[in-house]
Parts: sequence; C-alpha cells; structure tokens
Amino acid sequence: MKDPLFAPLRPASSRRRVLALSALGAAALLASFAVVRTGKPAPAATAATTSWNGVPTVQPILPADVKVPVSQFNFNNLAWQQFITLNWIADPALPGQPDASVPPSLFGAPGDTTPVVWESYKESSEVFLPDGATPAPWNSARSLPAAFAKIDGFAGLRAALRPGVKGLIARSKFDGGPTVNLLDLGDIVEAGTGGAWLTAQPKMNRYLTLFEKRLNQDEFNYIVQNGLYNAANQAPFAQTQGLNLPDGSKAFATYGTAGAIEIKAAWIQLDDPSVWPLFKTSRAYVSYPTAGGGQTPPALVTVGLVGLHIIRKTPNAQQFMWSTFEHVNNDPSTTDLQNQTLKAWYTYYNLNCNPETDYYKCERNKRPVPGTDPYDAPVQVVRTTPLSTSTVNNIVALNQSVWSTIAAANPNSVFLNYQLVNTLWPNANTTIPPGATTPLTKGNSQPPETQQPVASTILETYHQNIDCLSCHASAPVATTTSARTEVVVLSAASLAKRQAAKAADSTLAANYSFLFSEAQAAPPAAKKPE
Amino acid sequence: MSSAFAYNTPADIHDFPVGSPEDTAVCTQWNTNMTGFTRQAILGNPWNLLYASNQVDYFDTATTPIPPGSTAVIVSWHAFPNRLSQYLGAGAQPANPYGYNLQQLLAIGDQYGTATVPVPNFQQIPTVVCPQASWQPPLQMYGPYGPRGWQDEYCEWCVTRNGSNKITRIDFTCENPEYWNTLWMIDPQKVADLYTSTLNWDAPAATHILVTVDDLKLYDPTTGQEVIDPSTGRAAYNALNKWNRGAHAIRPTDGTNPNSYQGGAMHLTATPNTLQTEMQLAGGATIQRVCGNTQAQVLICCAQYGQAYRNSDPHIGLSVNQVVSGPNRVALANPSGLYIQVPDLSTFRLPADPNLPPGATAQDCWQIVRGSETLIDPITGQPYGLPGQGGNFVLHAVFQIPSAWVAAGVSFTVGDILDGTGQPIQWGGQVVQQMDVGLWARPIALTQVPADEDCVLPPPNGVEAPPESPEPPDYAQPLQLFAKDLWNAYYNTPIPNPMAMPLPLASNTTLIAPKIRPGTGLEMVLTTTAKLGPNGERPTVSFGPGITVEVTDFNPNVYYAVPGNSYPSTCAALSLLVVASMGAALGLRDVTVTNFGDPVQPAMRAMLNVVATL
Repeated sequence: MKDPLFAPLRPASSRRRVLALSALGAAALLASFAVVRTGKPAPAATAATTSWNGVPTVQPILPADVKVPVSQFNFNNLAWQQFITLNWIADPALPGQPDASVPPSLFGAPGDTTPVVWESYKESSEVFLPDGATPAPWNSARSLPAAFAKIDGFAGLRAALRPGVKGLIARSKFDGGPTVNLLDLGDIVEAGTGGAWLTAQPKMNRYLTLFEKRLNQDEFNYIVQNGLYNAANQAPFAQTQGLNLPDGSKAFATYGTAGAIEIKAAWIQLDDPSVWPLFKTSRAYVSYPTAGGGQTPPALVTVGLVGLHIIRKTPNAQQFMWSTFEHVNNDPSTTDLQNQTLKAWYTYYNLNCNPETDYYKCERNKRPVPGTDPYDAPVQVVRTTPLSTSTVNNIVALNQSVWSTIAAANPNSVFLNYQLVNTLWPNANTTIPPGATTPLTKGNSQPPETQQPVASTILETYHQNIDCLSCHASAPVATTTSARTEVVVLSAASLAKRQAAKAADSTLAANYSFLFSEAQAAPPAAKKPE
Repeated sequence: MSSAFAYNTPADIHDFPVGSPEDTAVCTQWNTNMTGFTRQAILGNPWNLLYASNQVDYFDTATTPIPPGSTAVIVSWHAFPNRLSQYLGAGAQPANPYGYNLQQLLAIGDQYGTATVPVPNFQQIPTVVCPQASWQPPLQMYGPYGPRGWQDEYCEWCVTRNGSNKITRIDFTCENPEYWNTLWMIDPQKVADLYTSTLNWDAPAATHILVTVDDLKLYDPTTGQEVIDPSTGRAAYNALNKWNRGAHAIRPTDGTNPNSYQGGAMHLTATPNTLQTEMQLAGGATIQRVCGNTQAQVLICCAQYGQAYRNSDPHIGLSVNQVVSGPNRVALANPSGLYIQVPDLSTFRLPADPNLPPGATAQDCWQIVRGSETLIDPITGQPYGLPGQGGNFVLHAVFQIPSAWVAAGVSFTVGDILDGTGQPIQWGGQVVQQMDVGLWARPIALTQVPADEDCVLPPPNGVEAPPESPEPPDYAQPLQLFAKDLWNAYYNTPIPNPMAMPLPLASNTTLIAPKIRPGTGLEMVLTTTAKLGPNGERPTVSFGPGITVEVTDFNPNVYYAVPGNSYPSTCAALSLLVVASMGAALGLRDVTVTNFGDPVQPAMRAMLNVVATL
C-alpha cells in the first residue's frame, strides 16, 4: 500500500528541509502545516553537555546532570530541558540524536510527524526479543512492536512499514470472562492496574489510549554489551557485577554520556484534523481489541501525544529522575473543578457528562473492570493532585516560564500545549551495589509521596496517590521462566498475586526498571539424537 | 533593607520599632552573636578531628565584599521528620523492625493518639549510621529527646484541640533559639508580649492566654528562686518554658482550669535545632572531599557534620558542598535563619459551609504570623533567589480558621478539613507533611575548586578503626561557657520527655557568649573534653590578655547535649573564676583549654564577650 503521507528519509546533511504532508481528507488544513526548515542551525548535540546553565532553552542540548545544588527547582528545569531535546526532530542517520540542522523556530512545528529523538529510541520489544535473541544493532531500522506479530497481515504490514511510522497495538486481554492473558500485558494496560485501560471521551471518539515504551542508546548498549536481553544472564550479572544502569559518568563511558533514559508515552488517535495543531502528532498503525475478543485490522492513523514519562539516570539521580509531562487538555484538576477554571474541552473529561447516560455514572477515575466493562466507555479523569504552586516546587510558574521561551522560538509550537506535571528525584541519592535485592531504596525521593504524589493522570489514572518509585523500587530481574514464555489465563486478582509472588521469587533488583522483566531466556538446546 | 550591621536579624524582623534604642540593642547583640557563630563555623574542630577545620571557604559576611551578582540560593528540605520514617516507619531502607504505618508516624509526631491509632512508643534505633544504618547492637533510644525533640527538621509544631479533641489550630515555628535568647537579654517583657500576641494570633478571644515574664524565667530547681543572668542582671530565660514546650497546647475552653493552660511553639527546642549548629554544618560542608559530592549519605559520613537520615542535614551539607564546587565560597546569606516555605494546600478540602467567603480554600487557613513571604536582597536589588526560584522568610505560621470566617458564621474547625487523601486532619503532621523548610546560601565565585581533603578522622563510630597514620589530634576541646549559677540551674533541671531519658535543661541553651565587664570577676563553668593530668593536674584556660582565669574545680562527668548535638554525652565541666582587668579589651574573646603537658591549641572562637556595660 502506497502511503503518500511520508516525507522521504532525509540525508543527515540536509540543511533545507520540506515536510511533505497531507492528511486523510484534510489536505487543505495540512497545507497550512507545511513548513520550510530554514534558519540558523542549532548546535549539534551528540553528547551530554556539562556547560548548561540550568535554564531551559529551545536548543537540542542534553545536560549531563542536574545543575547543582540539587533541588526540586533544578530537577524541574532539567526535566523541561530533556523534554525539549528529546522532542527535537531526530537525526535520520543517527537514531537517538537530535537533528542539529533543525532550527528552534521549527521546534514542535504543527503537523510535523517526523520522529523526534525519543521516538527514534528502541522500543522495548525490539530489545527484549523472544527466546532472548540478540537485538539488532542500534542503527538498524525500527520494527513494529512484537505484539503485531500476533495479528493477521503482520508480514504485509511489516513490509509496508516506513521510516517514521510506529505501531501501536491494543490487544484483546480476554478470552471470554474476567480473565487476563499474560501474553498481552502491554500497550493499552496501565501499569499496576491488573489490566485496566483508559478510554477517551466522545471528543476523541472513545478511543483507547495507547502506550509505548522505549529506551535510549546508553541503556541499549548496556543491555547488549552485557547480554541482559537474555533473561538467563540477568540474575548472575546482577549478583556479581550489579545491574546498575549507566549514568553517563566516566565510569560508564563505554555506554555513552547521556545515562540511561527510558520513555513511556501515551497516545490517542486523532480523527479530527482540527486538533492536530494542538498535539505532537505521529503516524502509527493501530489495532484495537474488539468486544468479542478479536482485533481490528491495523490502520494507519494520526495519533496525538497525551502523556510522556521521561526517566533518566545521572550521577545525581541514581534512583533516576522521574519527570512526567501531559497535554494540557487531558483533564481538569480538582482545583480546576472547584474554581471552575475549565478549558473548553478535554480528551479525558466530559464537561457535560450525564450520570444518567454515562456508563460509569461520571464517577471520577473509575477503573474499568477487565472482562466486565466495555472498551468504549469513557473514563471521567480528574487530576487529584493539582500542579504544585508551592514555593519549593512551583511547577505552574515554571511551565509558564518555559512556554514563554518556547513561544519566543516558535509561537505555534505544539509543545506549548504540554505541561510538566512533576519531577521525582532522590534526596538521598544512593548507588546500588551488586547483589541488591528488591525493594531498592527510594532514596528519600522528593517531593514526598505524602506531599505530592508524582503521577500522570494518563499513565497512572487509577493510582494517582502513589509515586513512581513506590512501584519501581520493586522491579526485579527477569526470571528464566518469564511470563512472556507462558500462555496462562488468570483472573486479575490471581495475576496480581502471581506477579507479587514472582517478584518475591526473583528478589534481585533490576535497578528500578521493569523493562528487564520483559526479557526471555533462550529455549533449551535441542537434545541431540543418540 | 540596608543596615548598619553586617548580620541582620532573621527575616529582617524588628520586634521593636526600627531605630528605637531597644531595636538597636537587639540588632547589636544579634550582630555580635552572628559574628561569633561565623568564626566558629570557619574554625571547625581542630582539637580532636583531622580534616575538619580551617573551613575558609565559609566566608565571613562581616569582612568579605560580596559582588553584586552573587545571587543567594535557597536550600530547602521537607519538614516532616524523616528519621521517624527511617527508623520507625514501614518500607524504610535499611528496614527497621517496627514498621509503623503512616498514621502511627503522625501519632508519634504529634504525641497524640486516637481510639484506633494510639501513640506508639519511641524505640531503640541504630548507633551506627555509616555507611548506612546498622540494626546490629548496640542500639540506643530514639532521639533527640525532649518535649518535641523528634521534630528535628528545623520545623517544630504544636497542636491545639477543642473539647471534642478536634484540632483548632496548629502553630509552626522555625525560629532559632538564639534570637529569642537575644530578645530576652534586651527586654523580657517584650518576649512575654510576643509570646502572648503570637500564640493568640487571630485566635478566638475566648481561647486567648496571657504569658507573663514569670512564666518564662529560669528557676533554680533547688531553691525555686529565679536565677539571675550576670550578662543582664535580670532573670535568665528558660527556653523550655510552659508556653514553648511539647507538641500539644491546652487553651481556655469552657470549664477548664486556667492552671492547665500551657504549650505552644514559639521557637525551636530540639537540641540540634539551633542556628549556630546550622552554621557549623554549613562550614563543615564547604570542604571538598575525596568521596565526591553526589551522594548525601556518603558525604555526611565522610565529613561528619549533622545527623544522617534527616531530610535536612545531609541535604544541606550536600548542597553547600556542591555550591562550593561551583567553584564558590559560601556563607549563609544575610539575614541568616531557618525559614518555613509556603506550602501548596490545594489538595486539602474545606467542608461545605454557606458562610464561607467566595473562593475560600484551605490555603487561606495557613497564615504567616512572623517573618515575610519575600524580602528584597540588598546585593541584587531583587527578591532573594534566582528568577523562578524564589523562597520565603516565614518564621512562624499557623493553620487555623481565619477569624473573619468565624465572624461570618463558619462553624467548622481544622479537624473538619480533609487532607489530600480525603482524611480529616487529626494530626498536625498532616499539614507539616505539606511543608518545607529552607535556608539561604550566598555563593561568591572562586576561580578554581578548592582541593579535595580526605575524610574526617577518626571515622564515625562503628565504621572502622582509625588508621595508625595520620593520627587524629586528641586535645581538649572547649564546648560551652556558662555563668556558674545558670549552669547549676540549667544542669540540675531535668527535661521531661516521652523517651523517659535523662536530659538536663542545659541542653536547651545557646552559644551566645556570656558577658563580663572590665574590672569585674565572675564564677563560670566551661564544659569541655579536657581531662586531668596523670597526677590530677587540672587543665589551664585562657581568654587572652587582660583576663585571668583560675580553674577552681574539675568535674569529669557531666552529661548533657551540647546545643547542636542530637544526643547527650559525657564531658567535663571546669569551674572557673574569671576576672577581667580594667584594661581588658572589649569584644568577643576566644578561649583555649589545655590539658596538662599538651601544647596550646587553637582557641574556640567567641566564647566570652567583654562589654563596657551590660
């Protein structure tokens, strides 16, 4: 199938770029998106820099660490700088690196679906392959998520895949009844929810929210060089050398200077082109589960970014810094509702929700029950912890400040519609020794969970009252009988018990990353005929 | 505000009319105190630690030109005591054997239990905290002791409840004890008046109290008589008086006995919660260490300042060290102090009440009583801090229903407000959990980072044996100087505490230098680590020219927490007869204490103040 929507792969040396864009039935609108990339090139950023002054700037620079002294304010600023750099157009020849030829005036150009830096990272299923196979090299072409292999037409889809197009799949979790298939935990299920998903409001046609997980080159190098893509290697490595992800310091120079970065992104399908200029958009093949347990055929659509976790390890953040961004039109906060300071529309909150007709009776943050509740019932999402305005952590003021900076570079940037929600960082920054077991220390993470639980309303809709490290401190190494190798059908409750039991069994810690538990072991060698 | 003094009062507060004789007297005494504390911070400990002195990258604001661009940096930390969570709470790393849940931690923090959550006990906790807390014996009782010693993040609170045991008010203070001692030196009645006005601030008239000077005096535990401070000629101050003690206050309600009214939080009382200690910590943290400065616990174990596992000390030390690595010299910015930062209470919910004014929120109940939300930095001409990274100078705040609401007919009280988890406020700690405390550091750019020094020797107790070489020094360390009568009264007054541990009131004193006039003599007590010689020879003491000292007695076994220390320990007390000659030079005097046979060592700074008039 010929897809007219893609710009050709551009040479890395390009200094003048034209985005060729059109849209499904919206050519006229998209004509206004067409932008010419000219202007003063931004400086190259092939390595983390140590000369950042601590103030977010619309340049693709990745500071080596937080500006000292460590503080909430400085980590918030770093979070924003990382957001800017990681959302810079990626260099097509250097996955994971920003395209230095893209000027700041094109940061967040509406309608530009060219992959940004973090989108050129490896998807976790490209790294943790079936049977613990060796991943393809970093610079190899990106592939569709592994879950696509389970749907009809996968081979044709893979052949048609173009650079810059991703696959987002929402698989059925059910084989009839309230059960969860361990094979398919992933792309629509929120972490720690026992299989719950998030359905958008009618404004967004009740689409399911789609998730993807990616990791950067430092982490990829660490995994590959140490064979950690194979579950069988993780526990021995964690026991002897210590599963200690790189932090970009000299001690980890062999892996890179950025430090390990993991991304979790949330997307919503955007049928209405009029809202595209408000979102960071990408093109994706999507497939959704159907009520009967089937799967919709993959369709190439435009998706809009609604949530983005960026976690990164630096010398001053051995417990990682956990920053989360959201689209400003996701949902209102409790304060917004109380003060009636509401936006005209929300993706996940219906201003005119009618309890008599709404499936969940407009109950806030109602978690769907897998196997019982329908996929197309919108969830009325409310942010239970409003963005902080405290003196120590005045995120509202910082967002305004950074938006001013972005607007000065590009007044039409889609990223003017994204806000930092919060940043979690370790006040008691602590290196993890070899043989460390779960739960790891939370490092006296700030802000304290009792003060401001750091959570995304999109990625942690149903448990906004706890922070990232409350779960990630218990991330274990993979077992050699990984869940992904099994086909087991369990109830949600049983699944939770099983996962807890597995965590207890494999108490060696995976340095706060749940990605490692996705690894599988190589199958037993075939028995030689006697 | 420009000032004639190098060191201004905390938050530039003026409790007397600006320019009045009393105001000038307070500012003068405060400037003297800060001058002494600064010299002590720079000196460090040359007597019994190696690599812990000559902390010259902590600069003296009184003598150091500050370039216009030297923007102050806020260093802040969470106000709820982290050591409660670390040593008693569930989920700590390393794990403790107690596992108190969040409500139990709140109950112990307030020392207030409910039918379902009784106050749990303080427990035995590690004595070895480096490289991390060890739960192997020996353990020790949780400290700091004292009526609210566990509130050790430089923020203390006190809760008032009504007859239904619902909270009606929470007082929060981060005011240092040195300031209130200074104010008392100038005018005890002003102190009593400020107690009265602060503790009654915006509270219903029916709950008002009257604090008298007599309530605040130090009384000799044997005679019951007030104790005269030779530095002032008036009664001495008892920092743990009935209105500044404990975590709950009793206020007038219908039918209660006036004699039972007590409690309040006017200034810090936990023994490590002093400004002098904070400056010592900052001074010690300036030294760059071989261990690097990315891990607060590693650095605090190496540099041996402060108390591990607090939110505050490890973070303050790390932050100061990182500022110096800029490279910079650093000092606490003037006005030096500890400052509550304004919280965000937007997750709290008020009960529905038709009499509430439009737009009323729980944030309105958090009110600044003393100090300022912002101040203009005379160095930059702008509000303190970097753009977007400001900070507050709040000294005392309360959480209560505003009187205007009460007047409008609002009938609910603090205990009816819901916190961010939807729970009614049963403990003051629920509000404290939303709060932060901070201090301001002032960097001055250097051209290069100071050289690293090794970790302080001897290493912390329990880590490893000291190396044979280099050998740490072992000389007599001067600790604290008192007028004899004050020492006797302070030392012999026990402090009740929930841990039921022995703690004398001497632990709640300050390092403000006692005064002496030329041509007078004074019986004094100097606490020290000194020891007798092999034949009982007493140490010698010197305050420099013009002052003679006779050591009249040696007590090798006194036990108290030297202000700044979290726990009491044993040291010696030297009884002295100090005589200042008529020609003795005025000003702060340093003191040397020399064990028999030892060479004279560096003097402890600013221990005595020779003044023309009291």
